[in-house]
Amino acid sequence: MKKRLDSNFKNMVLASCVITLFSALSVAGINALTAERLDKVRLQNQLAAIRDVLPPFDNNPMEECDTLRTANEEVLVLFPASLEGERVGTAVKTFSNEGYSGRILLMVGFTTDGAIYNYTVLEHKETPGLGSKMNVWFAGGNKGDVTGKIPGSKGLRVSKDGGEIDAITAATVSSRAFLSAVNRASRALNGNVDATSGATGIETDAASGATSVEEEAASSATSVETDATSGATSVKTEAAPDTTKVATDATSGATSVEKSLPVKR
Amino acid sequence: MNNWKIFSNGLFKENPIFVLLLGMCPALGVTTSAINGLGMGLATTFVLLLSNATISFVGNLIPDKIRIPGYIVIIATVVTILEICMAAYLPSLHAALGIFIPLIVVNCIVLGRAEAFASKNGTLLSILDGLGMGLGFTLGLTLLGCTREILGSGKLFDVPLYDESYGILLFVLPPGAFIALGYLIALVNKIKKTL
Repeated sequence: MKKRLDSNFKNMVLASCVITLFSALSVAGINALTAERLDKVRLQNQLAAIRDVLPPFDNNPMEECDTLRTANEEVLVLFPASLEGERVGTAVKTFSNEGYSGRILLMVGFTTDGAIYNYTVLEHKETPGLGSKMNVWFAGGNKGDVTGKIPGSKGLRVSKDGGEIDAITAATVSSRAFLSAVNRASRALNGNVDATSGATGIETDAASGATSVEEEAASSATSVETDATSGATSVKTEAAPDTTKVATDATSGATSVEKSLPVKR
Repeated sequence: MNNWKIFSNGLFKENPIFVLLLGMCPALGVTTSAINGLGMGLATTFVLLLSNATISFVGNLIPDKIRIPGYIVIIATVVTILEICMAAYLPSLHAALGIFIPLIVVNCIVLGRAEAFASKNGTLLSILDGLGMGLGFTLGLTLLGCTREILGSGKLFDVPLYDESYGILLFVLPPGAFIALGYLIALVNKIKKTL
């Protein structure tokens, strides 16, 4: 048996400090060394997932991505993809919290007409052998094939709930969660995620007195323009980085537009 | 020959899975396939090796009364380093093992060897012990993973052996882990008796 340092107060404090200092330094060092590599891996994974779910494209969807937030601050990301300048579809990173055990993250690719091109499961904690089959079950040519389907405003449902999609055998809950994530993605594509919607850019031209709000979420585009001559225009911008409130007061009537601005990444 | 004895101790005589029954949480949790078992085993081996070496090296500088917290901090540091490196260089394995990597910190086999062996022995012997115990753990997890993968999904190291639909789903699920482990321990005991 080796002789240890005395367990007096000074030694104990000193030893604890030295140990924690060394461990903090070594973890920080390793973290700094691998940070670059970690970022690369994350981007590669995301790009691979986008490639999986869309027809071939040649732009970098991650540069043009849009982030949408739901009422409870959860995030959906839209990745527009185009080939030689022409839009071929949009990949949507979507989620569902209704899974059998925890959160499900999906990447779903839609073609320009809103039909599902393909999907890939990014993250799930479903039962192995049952709900975990979702990564192949709903793929093209399989039993619960969702490819080519257009969720639209009604959304896809499992056959048990009166829909047309076959649920995974013995995993209806997981299947419902999967479809709810897909439907959420489809709604996001049409510009509405629960309570809030997304906009790619708000251009405010205060000098000329015109306020234009441009909303572009994949297929739908809306444009609100107010002419200064018809009345007074006031633009209020809140300090929060992702929330801009544009209030337009015109003599002809009062218009108030509330938008949740996307954070460009 | 003493060195070999210490090394082989963890492999057979005191195999963590089949004899000591330590570290059952990852043993039952991740062994749904052989490759997961192997990966988890090797990760634990790495942690055991480094933590044993560090603790035997600085062990007598840590006062007796705070040795357990001290060991835990050292082990946690090694595990965090492993996790960061794994996420950066082996992302697919990292994704497959998930939460079980940080949980190596509380794996009793790691703290057990630190307390029972590394704190009382020299660095070289502690490294041998860590390596032996780690490889014994790997052997146990891989065997368990193989059994469950063959019976449950009809594959071995992702190579299909028979049609997946004939697999016994139970063996992929948690109860199957207990059943498979029980029979493996019985088998190991039987073999040990005949030797």
